[in-house]
Amino acid sequence: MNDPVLRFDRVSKQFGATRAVDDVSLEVRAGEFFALLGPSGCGKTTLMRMAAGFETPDTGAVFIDGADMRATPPHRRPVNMMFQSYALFPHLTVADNIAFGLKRMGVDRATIVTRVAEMVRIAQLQGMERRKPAQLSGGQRQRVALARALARGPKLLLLDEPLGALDRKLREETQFELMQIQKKLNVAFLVVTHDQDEALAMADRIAIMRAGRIEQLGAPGEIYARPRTKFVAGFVGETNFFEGRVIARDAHAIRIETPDGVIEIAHEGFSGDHAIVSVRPERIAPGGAGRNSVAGEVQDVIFRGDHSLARVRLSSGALLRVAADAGALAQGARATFAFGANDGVIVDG
Amino acid sequence: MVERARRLGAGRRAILAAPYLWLVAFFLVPLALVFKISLSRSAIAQPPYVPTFDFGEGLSAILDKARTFGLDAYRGLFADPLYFEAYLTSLALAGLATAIAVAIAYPIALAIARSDKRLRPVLIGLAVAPFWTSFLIRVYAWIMILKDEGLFNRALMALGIIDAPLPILATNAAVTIGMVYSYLPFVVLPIYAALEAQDESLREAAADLGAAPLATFLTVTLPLSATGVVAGALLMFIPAVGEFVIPDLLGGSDTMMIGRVMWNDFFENRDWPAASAGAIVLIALLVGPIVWIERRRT
Repeated sequence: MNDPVLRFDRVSKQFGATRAVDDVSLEVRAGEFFALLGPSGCGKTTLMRMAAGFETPDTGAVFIDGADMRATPPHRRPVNMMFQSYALFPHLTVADNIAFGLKRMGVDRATIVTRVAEMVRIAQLQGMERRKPAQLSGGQRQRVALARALARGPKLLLLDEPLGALDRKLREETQFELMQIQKKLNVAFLVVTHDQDEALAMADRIAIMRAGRIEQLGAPGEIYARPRTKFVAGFVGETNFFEGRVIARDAHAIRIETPDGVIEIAHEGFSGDHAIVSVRPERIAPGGAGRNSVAGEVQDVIFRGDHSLARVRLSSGALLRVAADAGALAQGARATFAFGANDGVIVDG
Repeated sequence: MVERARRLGAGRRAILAAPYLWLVAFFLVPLALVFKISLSRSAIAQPPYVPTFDFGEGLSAILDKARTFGLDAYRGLFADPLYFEAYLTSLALAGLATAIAVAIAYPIALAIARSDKRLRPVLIGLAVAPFWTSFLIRVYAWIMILKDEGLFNRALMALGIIDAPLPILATNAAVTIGMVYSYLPFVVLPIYAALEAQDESLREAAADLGAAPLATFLTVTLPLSATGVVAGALLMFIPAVGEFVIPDLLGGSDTMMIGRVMWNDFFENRDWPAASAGAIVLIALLVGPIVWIERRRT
């Protein structure tokens, strides 16, 4: 049970002058929901296509269920992929699209019919079986693509931006559907996405990629609360950075001289003499209470329903993002904002 | 604003009218003239049929003459088995040549569509390169290749495959070869267009779902290029049925294709009504099934 369904072992891939994937090692465990998250061009899609067999690594190896896949062409690999464009066969009906992979397995007709009916039910496509892809809505197409990819019963499903083509409201509903189906069928999902909300919401584990490398790998809560680098902190969620020279330290905290004053941050074995600190907007409170405080003028306030996000111009000219109760902050007001030594995280540059 | 919209509407109508006017002036009017001649009777006169109309005669004279129209030319077509055989030979040879051309054109189109993107315009240019020389000269060249002491027979004899030259020139085989050669680019282009427009991710999806390359071709690539195949085949078949030059130069005296029969009627027998009736029947034979195919496709 602990064997990974997919393992990348030090894979690299070069496209012309760019290193699309740079010495990546990674494991996807059986039954887990794994997200590859990163900006476009970070190599996440190339990495996924290596698992499907559409790209071959220049160096390194890909293992599926423990078997080396280097010499295995895509049509013999025990994984299936849901394409970003869905890639539904336009000349086939919904039922024939779903049956396509089953027919290639050489299973008998009765089994195919039963299996297609099961997939139609899971993807809630009842009544659509005879339609062609062109007669479906975007959401229905997405579900056909999912049903088709799951029909062969793979242990691992690769999903390339599965929600990318859906509008916002549908995207949220579909997130829950995807998670339910994934848990119910106990299939490992490897999802490629550039949307951090999507990754945080759905994944058991996330790998953040940047310029062909994995910058951080962990559970969503861990990545959000303890980003290891400035890139990860900025990419996953909103944040504020304070940066400066370390002017004092003891075993538990350091004091940093920033353009907006000296701040004190807890640390565990940080030894550098220059530090970058990430502080999430919801960790900063208007008012004076807290170890660190900065002052500035509220530049604008964005209403977000349950809370508001204010942008505050600090004396150094930097913008501070602060989450607050709706209506608590007024545009143009001068205020002090405070956060504790444990509200910030020291990150690498 | 309303005034402006109305003027734009008029401009749009004018642009849309242009191709229709072209079709009326250069297709419908000539076709109507041919139809009129097919209803006339052959005569020793200039032009060689009656009645002819002179618009100075007044309407009643023209109407009187129009009463002499008849279906004699069409009766002649059905009475003479030569025409029936000529239609049959034309359809059979054009059909065979089209089938062979599709079989040759498909791999060519597929190879071009799968080649490097920067190379494709060059390869397409090469496929249509023969059009830069005269059609007539290229058909003559086939005489040099196919005749008894021509390139083809000499090569086969030199290789010891045959002892005596194969009689190819002046047979239906030569006509078929000539038509395949001449029309091949017309078949390659639409098939290429259909293949080139196919989304590569469809083939990847097929492979991902367990289809080996051949299965992918048969279940995805081929059915999705069917429109291109049909378009290419029609583009070749229609003119090939009425082809005159190729059977005249490469065919034998017994190669009776309808284009040649009509040419004989027209220039040798000076029987314009018979030739016109032959043309009208040919158009009916071709347009009927094609309209039916197009209806079924949409």
